[in-house]
Amino acid sequence: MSMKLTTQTNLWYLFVTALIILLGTGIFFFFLKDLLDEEATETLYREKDDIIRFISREKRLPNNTLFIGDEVTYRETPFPVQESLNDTLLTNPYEDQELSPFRCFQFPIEIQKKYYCVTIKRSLFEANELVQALIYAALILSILSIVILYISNRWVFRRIWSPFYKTIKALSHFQSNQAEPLDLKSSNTHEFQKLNKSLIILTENVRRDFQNMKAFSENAAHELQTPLSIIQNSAEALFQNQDLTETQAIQINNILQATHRLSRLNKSLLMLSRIENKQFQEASQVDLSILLKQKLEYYLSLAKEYNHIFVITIQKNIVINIHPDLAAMLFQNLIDNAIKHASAEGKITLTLTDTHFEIRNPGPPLKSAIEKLYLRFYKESGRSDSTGLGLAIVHSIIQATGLKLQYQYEHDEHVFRVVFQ
Amino acid sequence: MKILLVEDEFSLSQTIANYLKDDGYVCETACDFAMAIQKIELYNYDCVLLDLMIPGGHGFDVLSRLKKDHPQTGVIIISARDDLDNCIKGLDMGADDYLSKPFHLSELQARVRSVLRRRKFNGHTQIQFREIQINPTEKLAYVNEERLNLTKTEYELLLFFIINKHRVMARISIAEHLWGDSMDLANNHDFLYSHIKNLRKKMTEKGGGDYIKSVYGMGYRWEE
Repeated sequence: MSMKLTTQTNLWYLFVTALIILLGTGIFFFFLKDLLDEEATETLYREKDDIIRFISREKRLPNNTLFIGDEVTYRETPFPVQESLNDTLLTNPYEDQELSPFRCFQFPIEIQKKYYCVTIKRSLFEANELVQALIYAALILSILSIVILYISNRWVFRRIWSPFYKTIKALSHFQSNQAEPLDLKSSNTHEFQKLNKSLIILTENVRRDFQNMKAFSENAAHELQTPLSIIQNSAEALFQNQDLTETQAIQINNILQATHRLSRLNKSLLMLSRIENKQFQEASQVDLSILLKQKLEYYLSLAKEYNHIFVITIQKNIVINIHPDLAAMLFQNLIDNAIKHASAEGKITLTLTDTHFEIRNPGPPLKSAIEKLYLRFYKESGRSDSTGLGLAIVHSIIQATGLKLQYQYEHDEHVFRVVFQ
Repeated sequence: MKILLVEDEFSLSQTIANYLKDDGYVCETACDFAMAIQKIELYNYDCVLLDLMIPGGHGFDVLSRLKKDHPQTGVIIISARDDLDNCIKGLDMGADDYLSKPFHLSELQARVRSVLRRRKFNGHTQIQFREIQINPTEKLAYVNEERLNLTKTEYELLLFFIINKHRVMARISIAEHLWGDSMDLANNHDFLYSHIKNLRKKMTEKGGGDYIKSVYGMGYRWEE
């Protein structure tokens, strides 16, 4: 699974931000709580001091509660109570009689040999509410900042990385045989500039190497034709010599056979490089039904020699947009292949419909993957009369025309199907 | 019949020229552009075999000059660059035929004959060999005035043999002539043999001679 760079970065940002906010809010909460807690206790002690000061001055109990919100009660006790400070839940007169937290401070005082227990109850409710409100505010602020951060991040990201995505897009359409150099928009980001520069150099090298290779194989094939002619024609001229011995005749014949093979190989290679050089670009409306019938006229006479049975079904008026030579070569190579590899006296089934062309020939299953058969010079059978280029030519025609080629092995038959769009 | 061979590869042009001379043609050679132009300006040829890639110029320029000055001369382009565009261009410019290297000499001979027939005799020419007569326009063959019932392959085979009479022809040259370039399937010798057998039978049935001789290790020869 892969994620977009922006999404990944944003997710990490969000995760870290959320973690910091959560931790921060927690720390903030405990500090605040602690502070308010201490404040409450300190206030209670201050109040105690106030009460004691009042009593030592006036020698009597204060007659009213001195402190707003804090309830002070006096109770006479036979002996001094222990000073204590504890939190408890009590009904709050200000808050609809609900139970709310209070801090009770209890201490003894002595007035004219009488002991009193003073209890100050201080509501902690306000302090808790304050903490809560502050936490809420902090949380809302954090969520807001996360959302804003997320949106702005995305926006900034898109802007900064857009040259990068353009580069990727251009690169994904790059083909080593394309006519134009790779078109990369310039960027004002230093790293992207460097990336684009390197990519342009790299793709130019690929393109140049490809051109050179193409030119090389085409030139090599062309240059071979003349020496081949000389060998072939000289051998033929030698043939006319009346005084040849049998051995010499056989040797000359071998030369002729080998030259013939070489020349076929050469022509197939030339054909391949021509298809790959896109020299068959001009497509026209080709009636495949007529073309296939013409091709078959020739093959039917051959089939008789081989004792192959042809089962032919051709729908009329199947017209597709293709270079006529490519269509002819496609048929020829597929039929050649079927005849060559059909088992003895096998039935070769040819079908042309408006959706596809299919050719079946019986034979043992392939020993290797079908993709290997599309490689140049790959021979499944090891036959010497096979150039190993027929299916490679089929494959490159398929690639040049945008047709689809399917292969299947069913009912002991090899099935090649060319699917029209 | 006078033929000019424009070909820069010396050994190739020698071999071709000798082969054609043996068949009774007068064959001259030109090894570059200037020499080719000079020869066609000075002499009249019945047929020119033209390589497109020649030193000093392009074969197409020789062709256009030829078509201007001697429109009745037949032209067969022989080229190592057997691409279709050049072929079509050559034919559009008035060439009669196109042969790509490497080719069989017997094939060249058949093409030359066919061009000469069309050019010189407007196609109205019978090919006669003793009791055998061939009418290339109608694609019919006769033995002692009696029509042979030949298949297309057998007819082509007969014509090819008679044009290349007295020549030893490799099976592969015959097979390639009959079944074309893609003809590379195994056992082609076996069915070439069966076609020849049928042709012989059909000819002898009508009282014709048995001229096709098998030459051990090599192929076949049409002998008198």
